[in-house]
Amino acid sequence: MDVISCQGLTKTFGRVRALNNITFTIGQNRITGLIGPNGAGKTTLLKIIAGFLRASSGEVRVFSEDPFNNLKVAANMIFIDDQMRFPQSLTLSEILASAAAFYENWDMELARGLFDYFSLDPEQYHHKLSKGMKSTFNMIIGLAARCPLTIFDEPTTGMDAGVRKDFYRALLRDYLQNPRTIIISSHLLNEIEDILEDIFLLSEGEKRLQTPVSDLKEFAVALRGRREVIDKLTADQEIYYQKSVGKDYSYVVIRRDAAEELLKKAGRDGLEVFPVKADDLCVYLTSRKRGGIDSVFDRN
Amino acid sequence: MELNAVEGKPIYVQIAEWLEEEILRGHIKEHEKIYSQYQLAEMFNINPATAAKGINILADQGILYKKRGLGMFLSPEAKEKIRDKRKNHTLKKLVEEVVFEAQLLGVTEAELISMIRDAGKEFDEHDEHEGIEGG
Amino acid sequence: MSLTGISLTEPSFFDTVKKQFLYKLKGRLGLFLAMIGVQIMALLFSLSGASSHGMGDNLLYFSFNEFSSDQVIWFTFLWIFVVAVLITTKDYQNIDFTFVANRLSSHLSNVGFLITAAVIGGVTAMLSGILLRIVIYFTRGHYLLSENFIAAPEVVLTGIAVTILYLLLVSALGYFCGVLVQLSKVFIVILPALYIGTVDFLARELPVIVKVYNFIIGENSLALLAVKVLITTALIYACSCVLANRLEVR
Repeated sequence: MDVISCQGLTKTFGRVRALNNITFTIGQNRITGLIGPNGAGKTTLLKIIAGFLRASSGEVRVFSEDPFNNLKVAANMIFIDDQMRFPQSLTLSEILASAAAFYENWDMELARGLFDYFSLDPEQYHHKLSKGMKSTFNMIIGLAARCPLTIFDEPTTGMDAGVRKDFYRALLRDYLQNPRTIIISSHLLNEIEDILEDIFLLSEGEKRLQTPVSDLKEFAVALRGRREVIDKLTADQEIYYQKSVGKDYSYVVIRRDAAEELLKKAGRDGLEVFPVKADDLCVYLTSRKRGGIDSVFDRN
Repeated sequence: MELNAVEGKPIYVQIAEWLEEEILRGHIKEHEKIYSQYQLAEMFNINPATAAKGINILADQGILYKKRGLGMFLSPEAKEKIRDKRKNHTLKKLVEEVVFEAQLLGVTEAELISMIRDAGKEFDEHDEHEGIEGG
Repeated sequence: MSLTGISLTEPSFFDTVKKQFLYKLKGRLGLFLAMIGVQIMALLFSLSGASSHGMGDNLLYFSFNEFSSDQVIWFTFLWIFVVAVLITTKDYQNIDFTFVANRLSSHLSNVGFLITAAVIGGVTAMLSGILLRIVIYFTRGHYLLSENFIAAPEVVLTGIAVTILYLLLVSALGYFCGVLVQLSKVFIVILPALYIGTVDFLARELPVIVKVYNFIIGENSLALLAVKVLITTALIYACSCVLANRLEVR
């Protein structure tokens, strides 16, 4: 069963087109990483799925219903980000108690356990926490709510490396015990890559790629060789990334299946083949300019 | 347990290789149930789907067999299959790389063989300490 | 370990409204503290005497001081108006949508909250009038002339009821203004202009407004007043809910 499905989803804010004609589905009980640079439209997409924002056009279905202003979707979904607000007069433990009233599957034991582990003070107030502590607290809410659809929008803002690692470990272990559909957005892939099942690449409001993360490493390869050889070989290929190496050499990233065919025809002579790291590939697929930052310096 | 993230190898391949090594070392017996995808996910901090993909590689090669509803079990010919596969693929490739490097450096055949012999001795001593079951 | 997953819950709408109402009551305690502050301030103003007149000659001098709790009531009106506007703002809305909510449940729990605020505000404002008299009795008691120094219970109760009704009306107006501002920031300019225009100009030019005003405010029968105010309040709240139902949040 698909938990989320979008058909031709477009969202505009005034004249700005934040999301452009996005079509995809997300299956039940999978962990999906929504990856894209800042300003790609990740938060907008997630808020439409959560039912906070309305699609300008296209169809969105969450649990087979239109999520906008939908109580059923709201009751089965939680949206965690660093903009979460809580009443200022409530202590952290009072907020936990309130959350418990709202969510049927709430796990207070888990919440208390994580509270102790991260040494949060139950009598503290949310607005007095540091940025990292706020993120940690929000994360605890997100995990303990045990919602069938759990959305984390850049959840680790301000957390230090150790806490981030603990967070992803806690997320995975809780997911193993209570499988559910989880979406985590991040502008970096490498820290979440291992726990993901799927990856959804978004840039400039458009879907670039949606694939099991284990296929991502095999999706593309890099070729390095003399520029004239590379240029001739890849003339009619989709090039994800290209840079010059020294004066005469060129480095290109292309699809693996295309590369294999080319190599069969042209032979390996003078060409080196490298794997492409998943997070590098994400950067290539979502970057504005093919040549990367070097293109700014290399124009003559 | 940590997986090597820098290496180009996909995680599920690393999982399959780790399982193969467990089998070769005799840590898993014939017809014994092997780790579930969830156990592997927890051990290596990876998504269970990725772990399942690693297990499935071995199942496709007949190293594991499936009992419906019960999970994956070790086939009796597992060790042999792994050894064959590794000899004909992994080891062959490694040897090719070694030979390539030796040629690049101008190392003679005799020199190379003596290096291999020395390395072998070191491993034998190491194995005695560790008590790893020989192949 | 299994892959069955978590089953979907079917939320009950009124249950959600109730939960949000209780959450808001707990979370907005500060607003009631502000009310107490405002009322104490108003009491202090009242104690200095709302108005005084003096007359006499060189031999005899009379001075009259009128003490009343009117100031407290006016300040309470102001308080509930500000609260009603405040809870329509994005900050308060975001708090609603942190947990389970849809637009209607958020509005209805807000209405519930404002009704509670009107009741508490009405009761405390009227009781503060009694408090005021007691304070005056002990400080300048000798000169009190009023024959109904402590009002009869039915008078107090009627006073409380009327105050609550007006507070409800004011809260509905405040909420409506707040919702308009959420729909478009233009209303931040339009609403005050409209208000001044109504008082200064429209009232003269458009007798309708005067009639509406008299219809609601100039009612002498408590029962009729209650019916009129409650219907008007309900209509204004309904308009607010309909207008804000398509608003985007968070």
